[in-house]
Amino acid sequence: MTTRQGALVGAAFLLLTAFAATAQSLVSGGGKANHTARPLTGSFHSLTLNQPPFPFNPFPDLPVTQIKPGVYVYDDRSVEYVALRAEIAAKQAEDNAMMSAMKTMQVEDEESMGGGGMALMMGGSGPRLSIELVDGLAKRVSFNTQTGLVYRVEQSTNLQNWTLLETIVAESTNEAFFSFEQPNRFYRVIQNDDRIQFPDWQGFIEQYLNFDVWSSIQGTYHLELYGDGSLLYQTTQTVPVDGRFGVYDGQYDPNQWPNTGYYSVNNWELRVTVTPAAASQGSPQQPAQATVTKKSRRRNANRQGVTVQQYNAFAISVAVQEEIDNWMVIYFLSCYQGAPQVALDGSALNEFTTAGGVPSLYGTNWWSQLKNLVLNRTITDLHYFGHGGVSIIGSNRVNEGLTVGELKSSLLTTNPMTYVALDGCRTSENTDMLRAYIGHSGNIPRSDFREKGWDVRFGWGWKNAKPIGFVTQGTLLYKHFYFVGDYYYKLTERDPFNGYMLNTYEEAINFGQHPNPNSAWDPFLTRNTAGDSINYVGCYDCFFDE
Amino acid sequence: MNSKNQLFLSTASVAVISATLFLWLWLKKRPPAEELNQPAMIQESPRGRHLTLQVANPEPESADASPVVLTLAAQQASEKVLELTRAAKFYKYDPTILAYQEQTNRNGHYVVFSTPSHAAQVLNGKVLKMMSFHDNSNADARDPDAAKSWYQCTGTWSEEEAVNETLELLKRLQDTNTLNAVAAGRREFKAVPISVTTPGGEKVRVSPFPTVRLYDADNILRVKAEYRAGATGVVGLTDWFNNR
Repeated sequence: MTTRQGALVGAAFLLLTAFAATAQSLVSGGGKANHTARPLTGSFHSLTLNQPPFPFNPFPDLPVTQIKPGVYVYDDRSVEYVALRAEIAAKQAEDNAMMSAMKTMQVEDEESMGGGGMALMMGGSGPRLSIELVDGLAKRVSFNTQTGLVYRVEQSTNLQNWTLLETIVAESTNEAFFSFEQPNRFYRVIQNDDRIQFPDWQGFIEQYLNFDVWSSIQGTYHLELYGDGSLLYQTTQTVPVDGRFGVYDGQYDPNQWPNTGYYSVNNWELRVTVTPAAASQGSPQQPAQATVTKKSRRRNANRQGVTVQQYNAFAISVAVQEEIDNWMVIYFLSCYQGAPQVALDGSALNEFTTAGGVPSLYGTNWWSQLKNLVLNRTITDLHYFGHGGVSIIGSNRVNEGLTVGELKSSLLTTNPMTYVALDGCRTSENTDMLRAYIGHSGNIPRSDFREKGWDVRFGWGWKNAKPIGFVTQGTLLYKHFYFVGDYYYKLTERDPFNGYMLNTYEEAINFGQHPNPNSAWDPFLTRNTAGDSINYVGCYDCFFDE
Repeated sequence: MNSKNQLFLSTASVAVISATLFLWLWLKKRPPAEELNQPAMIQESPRGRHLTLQVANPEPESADASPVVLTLAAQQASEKVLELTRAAKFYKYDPTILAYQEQTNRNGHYVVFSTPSHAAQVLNGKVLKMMSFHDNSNADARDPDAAKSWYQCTGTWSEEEAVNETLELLKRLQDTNTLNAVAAGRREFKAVPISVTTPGGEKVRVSPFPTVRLYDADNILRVKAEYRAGATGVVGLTDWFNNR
């Protein structure tokens, strides 16, 4: 094992984990070791300390008593807590020092590092996990990153056997993954060798194959490109002075975009090895290696969409529901101009006769139909109005919502949507959900889409809890609907001669926020702040009809 | 007069009277002239009649395009477009109006014009948007050949130059409302470099469309001005969005 290879292991555990790991060596007079007979997971209370329980057994060697199913008390009367805490503090200090030393070390031999990375690195500047419970149904685990570095996310149920959950190449300084309904699950993040990095990373390929690599090592690189497991290309060359190299499709012609075409390969893998030149100073460095993957993504040839509301989502009067129904018709007719609309059963809808029958979600069966359309990439466009959250549209009730977890494990990962409008509370408090739908998380200019061979996609939601529903006395909060209406009104305006749409998403949104006072709905509305908390991602200067 | 002549005269008289009666009844069924001339809520422009239009460019590029008849309100709106094109140099602007669509409702008057080169939207007497079909950054969505000339856009423009030109344009338009609104807002300049291919197949990187965005104090986009780079410097405006 080299100095840095596999080193810089992330501090992926809470202090409690280290506490437990260290504690095992400080237990005196523990009971008979019979780990297999003793539970390792559950809720573990201390016999001597008044503290919250552990989600795992911190002292597997000590006697444990079950007080009810899944709840245990461990007998820690023999634990010397003062010495234990001193030990942990000393270990932390040592680890910090080691982390600092590792960052400055240029050359080390395998033996001096113990032949591998450290499994538990507390402190230091490695990734630190932050766990957030979102919408009561998912844990969002985020961690600090360095853009372009590779991170391995691993999971375990017993802190001993770890399996790879996901490999992430950081696109920014913070990345996240989700844990859905995974009891007794531990995660750790391991930062790979930082001598090979992947700048401007996007984990997918649409119409332009490219892998950009950067290495701090001066020497030679060898890269191998695999497509669906077959070696497609390999080369060995000297690392350029600026450290940048890579592989890309030289046949890609951006002038042909957005109709350049797709590759037949589904999964791409790049293996890079960089070997330092002969030692010039001190001991020779070890080669650095990295393997990264990208998925091919495609866009359905023909767009079709669903405009749908969660019916009676706000416990309102019949009159107000009728008003919402009328707004849904306006949205439906607008969305029809971007993509032909279908019912929840997938049958085509007619823009002239469907006005009274815009799809609605009444309950579990209707949600199942919507899930079928979305998760099986049947539709490319979705306008949703109803309840929402950071990781869900719909309700937390069983089968009456669509979660990020379902989206991330669906065919949307290879066929993201073209357009999604999530008109519900907090649907875009962060961009996780929009990203799960359309595969992008930032505001990206059209020129970037063209440059990188990406299909045009756009999505929007709300950053905050929208008082969409109703102010006191059951009155509809019209300005919210005015904004969405004005946005669509402006977005779908067409040139009278050639029929193309005239306004970009960005322009339509800004018009809705500032109709001054030419709102299609309120002649006196100069400034509509109801639209200020919109959050949008994707190609903001593209058109709805492309 | 013999009986034969009498029969002929009688038949002729009946025919004349019948024809007169039929004509009278037919004319009676027609609505009055003023009712016929009521404008529809949405008017599609008629084609094929000549219109003498005051234009900035006296020699339209597509002289064979069918001119259209404008309503008085649409003609006034077209004047606003011409005001803008006089104040700003639109790249490859052809002012021949091919079609227009006009809406009048309780909120005012809206016209969108289509020329061979541009579309222009006029909302209550102000040009909200004017964009090129073939020469702006979005043109490749409509015109597959649009990007073929972008390799020539090797000129560059600084942020200061671009922002100043945009503010000067607002001054020339005497748009004090917008000038005041954007005075306290942020200003954004983007000249994104992209790869384009030359006719010879060589790939070059250019920034064809330096773009200025001016926001108000609420961070609302009020003005977007996209320019076209030439071989040196900038050759004209390609996209204009003025959210009043």
